Amino acid sequence: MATAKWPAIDKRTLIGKRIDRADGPVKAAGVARYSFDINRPGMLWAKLVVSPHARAELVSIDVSEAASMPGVKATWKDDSLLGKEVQYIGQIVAAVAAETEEIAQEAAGKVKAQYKPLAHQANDRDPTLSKDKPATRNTGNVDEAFAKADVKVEGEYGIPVITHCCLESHGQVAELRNDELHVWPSTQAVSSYADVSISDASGVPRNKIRVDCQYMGGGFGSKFNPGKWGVISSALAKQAGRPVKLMLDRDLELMIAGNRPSAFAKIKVGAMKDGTLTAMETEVWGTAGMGGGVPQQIPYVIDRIPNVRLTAKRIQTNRGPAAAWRAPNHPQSCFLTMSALADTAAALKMDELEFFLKAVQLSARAEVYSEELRIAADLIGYKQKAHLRGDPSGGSVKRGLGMSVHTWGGRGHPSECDVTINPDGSVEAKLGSQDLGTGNRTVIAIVVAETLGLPLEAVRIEIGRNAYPTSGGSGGSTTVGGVSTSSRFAATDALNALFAVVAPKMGVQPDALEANGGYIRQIDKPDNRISWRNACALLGVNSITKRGVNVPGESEKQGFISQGVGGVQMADVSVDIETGVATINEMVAVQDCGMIIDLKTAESQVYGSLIMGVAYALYEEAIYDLKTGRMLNADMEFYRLSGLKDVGKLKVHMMTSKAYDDRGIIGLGEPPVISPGAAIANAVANAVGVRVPHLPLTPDRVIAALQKGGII
Amino acid sequence: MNNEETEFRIEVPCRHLRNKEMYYQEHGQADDEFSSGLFWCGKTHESFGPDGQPSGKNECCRGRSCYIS
Repeated sequence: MATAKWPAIDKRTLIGKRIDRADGPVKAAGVARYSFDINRPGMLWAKLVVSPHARAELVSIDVSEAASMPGVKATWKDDSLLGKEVQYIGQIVAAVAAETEEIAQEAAGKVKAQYKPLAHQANDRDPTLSKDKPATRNTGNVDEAFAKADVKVEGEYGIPVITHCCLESHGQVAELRNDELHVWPSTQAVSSYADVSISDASGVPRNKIRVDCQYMGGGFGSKFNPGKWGVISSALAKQAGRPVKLMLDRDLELMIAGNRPSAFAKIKVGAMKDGTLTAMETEVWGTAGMGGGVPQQIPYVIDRIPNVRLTAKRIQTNRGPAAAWRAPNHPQSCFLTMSALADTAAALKMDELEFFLKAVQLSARAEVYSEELRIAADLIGYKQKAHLRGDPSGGSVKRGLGMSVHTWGGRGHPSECDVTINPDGSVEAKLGSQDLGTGNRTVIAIVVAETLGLPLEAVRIEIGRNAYPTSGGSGGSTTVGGVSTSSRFAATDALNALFAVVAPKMGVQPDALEANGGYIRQIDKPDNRISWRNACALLGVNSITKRGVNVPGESEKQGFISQGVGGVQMADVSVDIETGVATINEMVAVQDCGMIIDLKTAESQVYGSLIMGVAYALYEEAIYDLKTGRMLNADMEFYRLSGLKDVGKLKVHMMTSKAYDDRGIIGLGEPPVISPGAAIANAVANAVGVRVPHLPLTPDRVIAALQKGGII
Repeated sequence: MNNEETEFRIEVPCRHLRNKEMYYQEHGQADDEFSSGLFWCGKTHESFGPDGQPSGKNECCRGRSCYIS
C-alpha cells in the first residue's frame, strides 16, 4: 500500500532534483498560445473609451455616431455612472467592438462623453492630505526607550507607486456558443474566474461558462478577477453574437490595471552602542488610489524591538487603482525598515553584517536568518569587500555592499486534482489550476511521476480550464503547496487502486507492493515485478481515476505543507558619483522554502525576483502630473524595466538541508522579491557615504543626495 | 430562533465585495500579516462601489446604499 507521505530524501528520483520546465520548449519555439494569441473565427476587436479627467461628473455618453460607423458591430456604455463621478484618468465609461482593431479604435474616438470636471487630488507625498483617522500601534514605552538610547537615528524614506507591467496585458476573448460562454482570459485564477458579473453581462449562468487559460504572461497579483474588461467583452460578445477580443493597450495596462501602493516614512530608531535595538517610531503614509491602505509591517521582520510606535496614514488619490503586487506591503515595509536599520549601523560606525546578525535576534526565526546571513556573506565575499559607510578608495566610482532580510507565509491553497491511470499505461492529471510561467505544470508532473515510479514524460498534465477539479488561484505563494499535495493524494490513491488489481496476479497483498522505475514490484522481493504497461493492461477497458483533495489546515498538521519562510539578500553595487549612475555588480539571494519539488524551477523563481527587484530599485516609478492627475510614463519607453546588462551577476542559494525539507512544501513566488530594493539601496548608501532616501535610485536622486551630503 | 434573527446576528458582507485572498484561502481564514488589505467591488470592478465610496470589509456592510446580501 503506497502512502501519501512525502518520500524520504534518499528515495526520491525526481522531487528535489534540478528539472527543466515542461513548458520550456513550446515557449522557446513560440508555439505556446497565450490568451492574447487566441483568435476565433469571426472575431471582433474591442476598444475602450476612458475618462480624460482625474475627477469629474459624467454628464452624458453618446455612442450613436460610433455605432453607425461601417464595421462597428456592438457598443457598450456605463449608464450607471451618469450623474456620478469618475475618479481617475482611464476609468472606463464606454466600449465599441468592430471588425478590425483599427475601426474599433476610430469608433472609440467618436463616442461622445460629456464631463463636468471637479477638483482632484493626486499628491501622495504629503501626509497632511490624509483625511482618515490614522491607524496606530504602540508597544512598550517608546519615549523612555529613546531617552535611554545611546544613539537616536532619524531618516525619511520613500518607495513610489509602481505598476505590475504584465507583458501580456489584462483582458480576454469571449464567445457565446450553443448557450455557453467561452472565455480565454489572462488570469491567475482559472477555477474562480467566472464571477457573477460575467454571468450578469452575458446572461449565462456560471455552470455554462467555460474558462480556458493555457499560458499567461504575468499577473503578479493583479489578475484574479475578470475586471471591467472581462465584463465588457462578455456583454459585447452577447450583443454582437460574435467572439470579441478585448485586451488592454499598453498605456491603459499601466494606468488602470493595478499598481503597487506607495509608502513614505519618517523613522526614528533608538539603539545602544553595541547595536542593540531598543526603540522604533514610524510615521508612514502613501496611496493605493481611492481605496486600500498603507503598509504597516514596520518594523519588518525585526519585529521584536521592545518599544515601537507606528502611525499610518492613507492618502486617497484620484489615480488608477492599486492591486496586490507580489508580496503585498512587504517590499515597502522591508525597504523602509532595512534602510532605517542600515542607517543606524552607519551612525554607530558598526559593521553592517555584525549589526544585522544582532538585529535578527529580534525576529521570529533568528537561527534561520543568522545562518542565511553568514551564507550570503560568504557567497558575496563580504569579508574581502566590506567597509564602513562610504567607500574610502579614490576615484569617482564607489563600491558598496548592502543587505536585507524578509519573510512570507506561503501555505498551500485548497486544491482538488484527478489522476487517471489508463489501461494502456498512460497517465493524466487534471486540475483547474494555472501556470503563470512559474513552472506549475512541471511541479505537478514531478509529483505524479515520482508517486507512480514513472519518468516525467509519461505523465500528461491538464490545467487551465475551470471544467477540471477546482483548484485555488495563484496568489500568496500558495500554488506549489496546494497542487503538489492534491496531486500527490490523487496519484497515491490511483496507484493503490492499481495495486489492488495487480496484487492477486503477483500472489501478494496490495500493501506489499511499490512502484519504482516503471515497474510494480514486491517491496521485499524486488525481482517479483511486473512492468507498468503490463500492470495497467490488467485493467481491461476501464481506467482508474482518483481525486486528491488538499485541505490546507489538515495537510499542514500532517506535514505535507507548512508556512513561514525567511530569506536574506545582499547586493554589491558600484556608483559613479560624477554621473549618479548606480550599477549592480552582484546580487546574492539565500532563501528557504521548506521541501523543494524542482530545484531548478525554485531557483528560477528567485532569479526572476532579483531581476524584478533590480527594476524597482533602480528604474521603476509611475510618475504622475499633479495638475492633471495623469500618469506621464504609461509606455515601455519611459516606464523602464531591467535589461540583461542591468542585473549584474546573480547568485541563488536555496536552503535544502533535512531540517528545512522536513517542514513540507512552502510557496516561493513572493518572498524573494521583497528584499532587493532594500539591499540595493543599502549598498548604494554604503558605497557613496550618504542615504539616497527614495526609490528608484535614479541618477538625479543619487546626485541630489550626494550634494545634500556634501560629497560633491 | 427564526431565520431572520440568525441573519441579523451574522454580519454578512456585501456579495460583491472582493479581495484576492478569497481566490486562494480557505473559507473563514483570518487576516494576517500577509493579507493585501486591498478590496474591490465585483459590481463596478473598481476599488469603490456603485455609490463612489471605497470598498472594504468595514465599508461594504449592511446599511450602505449599494449593499446586497
